[in-house]
Amino acid sequence: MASTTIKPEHSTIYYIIYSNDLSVLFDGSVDVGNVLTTGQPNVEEFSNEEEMQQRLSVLEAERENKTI
Amino acid sequence: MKIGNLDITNVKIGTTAVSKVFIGSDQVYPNTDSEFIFKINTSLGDGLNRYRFTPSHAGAVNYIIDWGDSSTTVVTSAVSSTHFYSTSGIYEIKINVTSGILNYQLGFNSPDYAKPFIVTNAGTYKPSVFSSAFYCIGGCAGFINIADTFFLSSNSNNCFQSIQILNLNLNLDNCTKLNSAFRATTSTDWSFLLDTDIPLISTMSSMMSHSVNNFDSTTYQLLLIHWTGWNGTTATKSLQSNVPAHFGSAQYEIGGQSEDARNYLTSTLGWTITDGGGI
Repeated sequence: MASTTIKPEHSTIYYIIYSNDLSVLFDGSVDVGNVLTTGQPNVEEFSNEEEMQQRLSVLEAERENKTI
Repeated sequence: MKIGNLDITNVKIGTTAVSKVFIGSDQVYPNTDSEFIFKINTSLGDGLNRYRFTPSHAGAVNYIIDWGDSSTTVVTSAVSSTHFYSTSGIYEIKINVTSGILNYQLGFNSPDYAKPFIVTNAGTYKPSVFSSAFYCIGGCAGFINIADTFFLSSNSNNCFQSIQILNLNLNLDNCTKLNSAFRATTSTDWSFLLDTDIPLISTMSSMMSHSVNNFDSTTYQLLLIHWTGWNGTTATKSLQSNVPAHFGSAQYEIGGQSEDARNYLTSTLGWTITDGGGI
């Protein structure tokens, strides 16, 4: 499993990380000075929280459909 | 620990000093006090000469509160207990749970959160929910200074958030959630984590986040090796997969075993780790 790294240079980066089957799905933020490393296959980055929340709701709906 | 009436202060196996002794899961040395003990200062917060102990309950519970002024209250079903002191000051409160479930809430969930507390003894009772137990924000100032051990419950999110740790021992064997557990928390020494294992932990999001948190790189490097049981080649301990974990700004050693252990967590177990990168 390859890993992906997020290392903000200028400002906080918001992210959504998820597995291919969406059984793993979580969001968060990384501040300047911190480094995020994940072994999950899907990483999406956002410059603001609103965009992240919009995308997260889409993914959560997708996961809901998969589990129905 | 006592044998008969004799206090045992130096426990050794051969010539090696032993720092803790357990009988089953009960720590009997150091400190044999069964009570949960903390101190409050009535002159702060609302300044009234009273303290309101408001734990959360999950079913029937029986416990005794020693208010520290030679008075006690036996509690059988009340949700909260208020005690009025004759004079303002610092009082040591002891909680002795005799049956049932009692979950402590001394931090912002307590109506008297602004009367700073210092926890001096975990006691032998193990709360079923430890989440937010000592979560200190908004004018709350809490300290932990215990020689015995807290056995954290499955959900221990936010448990020590924003407090100051002077001395702490933890058992995390049954813990699954440590989200924000040490967010904005400072400790004079984080090495107490090196005595823990985390076989059931599934999430540690924001665990060490916030600029105030002072989790150090030396302990972090040792912790990566300890929690994985890294033997130089592979991990020897069982851990959960896909765990998000936040280690603040602590840094692993590039080219060292802590980097190998960290790579194992992310690449093999699918962990998502936030830290200060490598040095």
